[in-house]
Amino acid sequence: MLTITDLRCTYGERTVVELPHYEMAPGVHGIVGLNGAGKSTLLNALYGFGRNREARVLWKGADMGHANTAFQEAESYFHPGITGAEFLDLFMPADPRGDAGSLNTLLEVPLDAPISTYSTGMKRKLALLGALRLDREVLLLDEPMNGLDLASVRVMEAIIKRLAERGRTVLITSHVLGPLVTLCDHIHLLQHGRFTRDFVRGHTEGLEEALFAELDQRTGEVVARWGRE
Amino acid sequence: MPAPTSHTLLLRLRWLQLRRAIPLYGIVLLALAVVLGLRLMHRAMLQDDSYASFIAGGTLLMVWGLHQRRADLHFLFRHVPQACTALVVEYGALVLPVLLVLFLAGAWLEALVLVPVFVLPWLPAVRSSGVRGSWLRRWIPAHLFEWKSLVQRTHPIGLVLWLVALTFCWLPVLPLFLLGAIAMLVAGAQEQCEPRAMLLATASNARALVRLKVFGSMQLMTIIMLPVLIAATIFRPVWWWVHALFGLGMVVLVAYSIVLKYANYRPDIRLEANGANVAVAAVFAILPGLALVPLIMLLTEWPKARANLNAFFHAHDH
Repeated sequence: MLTITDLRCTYGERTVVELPHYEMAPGVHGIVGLNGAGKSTLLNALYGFGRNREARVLWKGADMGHANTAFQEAESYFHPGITGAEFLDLFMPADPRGDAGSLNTLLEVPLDAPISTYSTGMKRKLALLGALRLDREVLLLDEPMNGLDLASVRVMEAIIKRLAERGRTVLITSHVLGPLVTLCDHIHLLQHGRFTRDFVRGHTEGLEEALFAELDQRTGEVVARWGRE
Repeated sequence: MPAPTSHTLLLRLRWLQLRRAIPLYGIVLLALAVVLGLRLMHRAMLQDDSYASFIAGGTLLMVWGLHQRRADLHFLFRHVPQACTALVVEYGALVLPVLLVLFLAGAWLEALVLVPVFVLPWLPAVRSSGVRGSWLRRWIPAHLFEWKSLVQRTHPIGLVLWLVALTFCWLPVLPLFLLGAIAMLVAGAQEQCEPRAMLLATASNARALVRLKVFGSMQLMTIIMLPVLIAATIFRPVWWWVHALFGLGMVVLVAYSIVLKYANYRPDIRLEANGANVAVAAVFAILPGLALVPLIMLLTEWPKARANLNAFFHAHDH
């Protein structure tokens, strides 16, 4: 069980994420929200960055830290002048049997080429391979589908399903609902830094309406006014 | 203005690039420099016939290298009509001055060496992976990726510097100067901060990371310098202490550059200001009697590096 207590993230005076208490059961969790809802900030905070000192994030009753969590960030940066294989060499798998290197036969990242020659999608896949190679109990994926082609999205879905079968807990943020609805056991709606609703697999009716309700209302008002001005 | 034909397309493009990059007086100066260079070649060939072979061979090699490495080759073959002819015209214009000098010097046979330049566009260009010194990189541990990055940026310059230092180890100052240049290259490679994911994957805590990086780099630096310094000491045994102090100074300099990087570490940024500090440490490292200063700088920065990195390893405590 992932337990979050007294979590608060602020940018200056503005509170971006505030979760007094929240629990997530093991499994695949999708976190959806519009831009600025606090998705990336939340994942960063769960990984230990930018959160308040009083916050407690527990995994199975113990502090969740780098030892049991892997994180694929939304923006993937790489040290210049190294190849994909050299980057992956840094991510030592805890158990060599769980080595994710073989997944590259599906993801097709040119590991022997310098990363500077990679496309955006290739960089995303390389970052994912690094995170998978660590083989941690909890995997945080921030917008993992961004920049991926359709085939890679399909491969990624298969990988996430397999992770769930292996008992790993995966938290995915995305603004693309389609893959999340099929993949996730739970979908949490994040609005203004708080979880406002929780949808269970197979019962996601109303998710899209809830996600876009506020936006639709604002859009309607502005568009209607614009026509008259 | 008439539309350029496909044959002279690349030539016109180069002229346009040159005019945009350099003001008119610069182009005149460049032309003068080329003429003077050619005159120098001509005189050298008149004094010694063998220079003609070197100049012709060198020119062929240069154009071949250019052809193999040019990034626009794929684009040209796809989108430029008669791309091969356009390339021949470009390469022809490049070697024409050299051909002229060879003819003026009566080196007809050597001039024939340049004939393959005109069939280069039809020969297959080998598309390399773009990874430089892959055999060298295999020897570098994964956690010292800054060194791999350095090889990518500087290979084979670093290797040539080292080979020249070893070859001329019998000279008094040159090998030390070249080793110093290598040490500065290594120190310069530490300015780029790695992303947070790589930092956390390298070690489990700040203390382990700094030790791993510093001692690993000191080890590599020692392996690089030791053969040259030992060879230099064999030729000048009385200078053993100079070589020993210089070697230690350079190792400390590299260690200082790493510690300085982590003392100011922020993910993904380039710490260009660190170069000034490293340069100061380098000056102290070679000044007699002041070699201890970089060591003191290193020891001063070490706790700062650990404290700074702790913020990234245990961010929630801060």
